[in-house]
Amino acid sequence: MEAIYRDYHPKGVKFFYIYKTLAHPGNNGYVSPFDHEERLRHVTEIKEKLGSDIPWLCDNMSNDFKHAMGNAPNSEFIIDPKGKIVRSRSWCSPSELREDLAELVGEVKPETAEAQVGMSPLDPPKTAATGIVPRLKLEGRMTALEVVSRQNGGEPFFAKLRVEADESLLKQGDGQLYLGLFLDPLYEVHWNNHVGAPEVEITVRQTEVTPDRLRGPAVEEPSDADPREFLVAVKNGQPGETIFDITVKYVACDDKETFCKPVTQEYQVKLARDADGGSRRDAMPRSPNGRRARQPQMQDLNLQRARTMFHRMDMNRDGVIQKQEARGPLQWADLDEDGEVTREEWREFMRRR
Amino acid sequence: MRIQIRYAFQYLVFFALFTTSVLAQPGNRNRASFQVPKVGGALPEVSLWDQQGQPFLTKTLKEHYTVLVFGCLT
Repeated sequence: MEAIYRDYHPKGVKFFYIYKTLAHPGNNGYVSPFDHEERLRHVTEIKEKLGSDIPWLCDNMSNDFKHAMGNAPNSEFIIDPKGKIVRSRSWCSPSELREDLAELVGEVKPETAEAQVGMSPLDPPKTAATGIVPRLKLEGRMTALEVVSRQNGGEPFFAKLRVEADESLLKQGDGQLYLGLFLDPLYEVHWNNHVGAPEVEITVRQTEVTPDRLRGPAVEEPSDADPREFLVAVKNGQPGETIFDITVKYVACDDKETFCKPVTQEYQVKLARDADGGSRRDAMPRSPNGRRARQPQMQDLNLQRARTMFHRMDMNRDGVIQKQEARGPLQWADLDEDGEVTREEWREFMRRR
Repeated sequence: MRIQIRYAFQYLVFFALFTTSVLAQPGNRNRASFQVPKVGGALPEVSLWDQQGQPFLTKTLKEHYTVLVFGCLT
């Protein structure tokens, strides 16, 4: 993307990354922001770490733009000078974007190669030690629930609550409720295990929650940044209606050791799917295309592999693999025997394998 | 006449199957509310923030070709 930006920005094309809700909270250690200031801090973090030149726009906290544009996690659009959408892809594809821009604005020769851009990979944020408190092993599909955090005393949410339900709870009202307290690396804090474990209290009407008072494990290590996770059983919940009032108490200590203070924070959690809640990759095995709760399908794998291999071999990005670009004999994929392999031929070849 | 009745019956079976198997799924209702805007349509007008935290209106994205790519930290 950065290479395309370098080629087309000088030709007057504007580029923006759109920051949206986290698709996979917990990946790289990042936690879903609770307010727009935290989102903007994520944007700053991405720009600094990646060294990207492309400017960012940040979606509002209602996620209006993500919803209006189809709610996909990594979609891509081209807007023409009249403000009309002229290209739309549900998953971004740099090679196809380059083809589109060549058609709309004109070809750029020579193209900037990815290697010339020299971007650094996104490293996880620095946190206190992790891997000390074992993670909960969850069975089956878990779905993020709608969580509303209540501002209490103006303290930031150093630790953020994520709540998920299994399918049975979400659909029938009886099942398992997952609660995870994740330290937000933006605040550079840790659990001080000598001053007490975090506590969670759940209050709900006409619904049984067992247990309804939870306490994090006793940990020998003086500090760590692992999530504190709990699983409770819920009976007689009303899908779409039941509201859990949850109070979380913990002591937040910053890594620079300038403060250590008790914090009490409150949440309201509705027994309803949060369409913007994303999915934790550590929650269960995932398929390579990022979708949850289904086994990888050969068709998906082959299509993805075909796309990646084609992109790697098509060195000059002209949408065709020529003899000199191929890393082996071409004749198996060259269906019309013209000495070149087009994208369609390659896809067909991979499908037949 | 018999052919017309047969077509009508096939239509009813198709309609019943379609409505019960597709529209009855809650997931599909969710997807329907988040439809991708059509190519050729106007970019939806939404208020965002720029990276400096200033309000940014999508309706100002005119006079140039603009590439928009959704992404996040994870």
